[in-house]
Amino acid sequence: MKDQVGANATDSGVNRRDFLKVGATAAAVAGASSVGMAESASAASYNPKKFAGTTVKILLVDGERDQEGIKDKISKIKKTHGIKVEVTALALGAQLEKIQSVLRASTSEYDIIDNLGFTVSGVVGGGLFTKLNNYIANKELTPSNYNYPADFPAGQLDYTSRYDVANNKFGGKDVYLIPGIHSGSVIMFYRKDLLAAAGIPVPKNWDDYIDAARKLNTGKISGTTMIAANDVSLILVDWYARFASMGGKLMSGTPGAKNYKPNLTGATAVRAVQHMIDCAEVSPKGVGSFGFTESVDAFSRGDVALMLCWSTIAGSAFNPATSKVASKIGAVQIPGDANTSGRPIRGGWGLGIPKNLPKKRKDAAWMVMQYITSASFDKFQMANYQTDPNRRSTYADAALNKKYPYLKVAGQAMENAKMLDVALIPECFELVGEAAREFNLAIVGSQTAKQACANAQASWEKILKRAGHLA
Amino acid sequence: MTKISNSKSFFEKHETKTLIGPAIVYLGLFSVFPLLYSLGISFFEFDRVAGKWNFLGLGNYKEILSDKTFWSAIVVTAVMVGIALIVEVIAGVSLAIFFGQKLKGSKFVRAILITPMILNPVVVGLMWRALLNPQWGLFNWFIGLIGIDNPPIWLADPKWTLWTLIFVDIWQWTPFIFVVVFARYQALPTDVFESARVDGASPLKIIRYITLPLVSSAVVFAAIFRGIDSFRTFDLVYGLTFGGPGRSTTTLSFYAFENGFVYYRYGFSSALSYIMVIMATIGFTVLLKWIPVRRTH
Repeated sequence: MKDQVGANATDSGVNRRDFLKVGATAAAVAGASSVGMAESASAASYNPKKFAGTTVKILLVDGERDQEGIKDKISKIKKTHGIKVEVTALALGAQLEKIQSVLRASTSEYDIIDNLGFTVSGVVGGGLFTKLNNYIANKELTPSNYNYPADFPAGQLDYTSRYDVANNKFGGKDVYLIPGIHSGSVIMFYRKDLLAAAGIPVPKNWDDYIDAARKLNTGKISGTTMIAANDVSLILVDWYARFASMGGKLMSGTPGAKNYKPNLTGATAVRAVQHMIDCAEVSPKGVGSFGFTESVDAFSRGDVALMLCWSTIAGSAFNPATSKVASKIGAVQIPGDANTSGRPIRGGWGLGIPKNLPKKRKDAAWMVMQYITSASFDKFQMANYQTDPNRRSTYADAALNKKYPYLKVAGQAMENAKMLDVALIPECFELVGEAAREFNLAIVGSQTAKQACANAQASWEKILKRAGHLA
Repeated sequence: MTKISNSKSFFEKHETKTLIGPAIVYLGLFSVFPLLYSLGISFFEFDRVAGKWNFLGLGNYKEILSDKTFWSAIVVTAVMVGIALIVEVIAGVSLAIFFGQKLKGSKFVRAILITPMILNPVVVGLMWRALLNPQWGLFNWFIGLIGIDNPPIWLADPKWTLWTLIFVDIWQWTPFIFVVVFARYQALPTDVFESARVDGASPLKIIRYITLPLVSSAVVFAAIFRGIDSFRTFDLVYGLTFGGPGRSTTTLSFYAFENGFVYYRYGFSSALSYIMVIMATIGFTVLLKWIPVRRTH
């Protein structure tokens, strides 16, 4: 497996040695210290109890195990900072709706809000979050080993952390969010035993992938599985992994110039859908309604040979407590194409402090936020709940890698992952939803790949025109 | 002798206002204001980045009427309401008459029968998702026992999903019709039935000419309640199919939810909801005039 990891990593631009070097440096700075150590070893001016006696309310998403680590640490935060922490975790739809209302209230109900990457342009671009640069630089409020930005993958910082509000685009110098509670990208999971028994090497391109899936597809074992349900957050992950890795370019032009046009009818887009249709034929029955849970459960039960999935979701397949095949699994970067390397979609969340809070609440919120985005908390959360880390030092942590061998691969994927192009406009969810529906219909056999792409193209153009991004 | 005061109390002076006042305040706050507010919103669209409302006039309504998803959602909703309601009424009334025979153990069976109605529709959706799972769902396992080796993929095949949704709706809500009609049936005077029997009427004739006319008001009441509820079906779709595959189970309510709460198109969603209100009002007013409710006494 090591060889395969190395080979794919080289293809995708960051080799394992570089990755480990960055990770080890970051680990030396941040990873070695616990929060307890940070309290005593950091700069003398750091005052963790500055906001003792206050309460900080955090709004998170439910169902992704994000709240678990914080709940475990509530008493520790109370002891260390004197701050009472209250956590609310809502289902994704409800959380997104709640965020929209609290950020526009006169005063936010929550002090810290976790934001899905797809929504950053809408909420941060709308100027609804507090700029964090001064907090990060403030030695009284931030321990010296906080290590921002060096300990975070650069691409992630330009997705769920830095934003140029004036020009409404990702990146820039202004920090509005800190990556967390989890980040993540898509990697390929495979059954080492099944591939070895069939004498099939780990697929490195999409043609190899479908060939291997067909060969491994027996009555009892399905060749592959997919996240193919028509939910907005699901099917496009698998499609985009294929499309971007095949060298596809999703959009041309820019929203500002009103020439922002989708390329969904191109050969690469159609090929990526066709690949999914082909994969569906060697997937478990009913794959067209599979979300994350169904896909990972089928793989963890031992019913599937190959799977692409968010590592933050499927990492639990390596846990013997939740997987029948924990010891038989390997993980590598997703396949590429003849001339391209695997480019998975970038996922993850960013924690921010609403702008509509009084200064004292913002300050106390930061005190808690720097704790739950610290290197030690990142490791704690990963070790206990297998959510994907946010920091390079965690991805490179030797003890964690020994227990969860996919972690290094997931870290490489994070370095190379590509943000979904349309995440930069607020209509992102709507576009994703429309494409998801059309691709889903193709996968369940109701239309061809070409028809699905043409329909998605028409829907996207209609939405982009309505929103003023396409003349 | 008690002295009667000539001066009227505050209550007597303002009797009408005092009596209907709370109802008017309640209606104003909780019905009229939200309705007018959402009507207002339906003429705007919210710009999330700029944080302001842009006036569109009838733009949202025009977009809805030229939107093919809206028309497909009307068809889906109409099929679902029509078929589910007809089956639920027939099954609910039949069960009510059956259990009215006071058979041994019927109380226990009745209690089990109404359980689905008590469950949260989202939970029902998730429960049936598990039951219909093509790999390990109990439903297909039972079907396999009777010799069908290759059952449909209930939630992923567009040919079957709407029927699956209708089936689950019938499973959950037939007990509602049953409870309402059964309550009415139990309250009917027994002498009418005894006279019919003495006159030699067969059981079928008793049902056709006595029972059904006597319970018809309850049937119409239950059907209208159920019809309105079914017309608004959202939670079951959310839990079971999320409107898919494609748009095969996207009802009007789900489409309004999706636009309002997933895509944040509040104006569009409000306009859609208003169109639904108009459709429901016209539909059920006509229906009430069309269905004759006989006087029972």
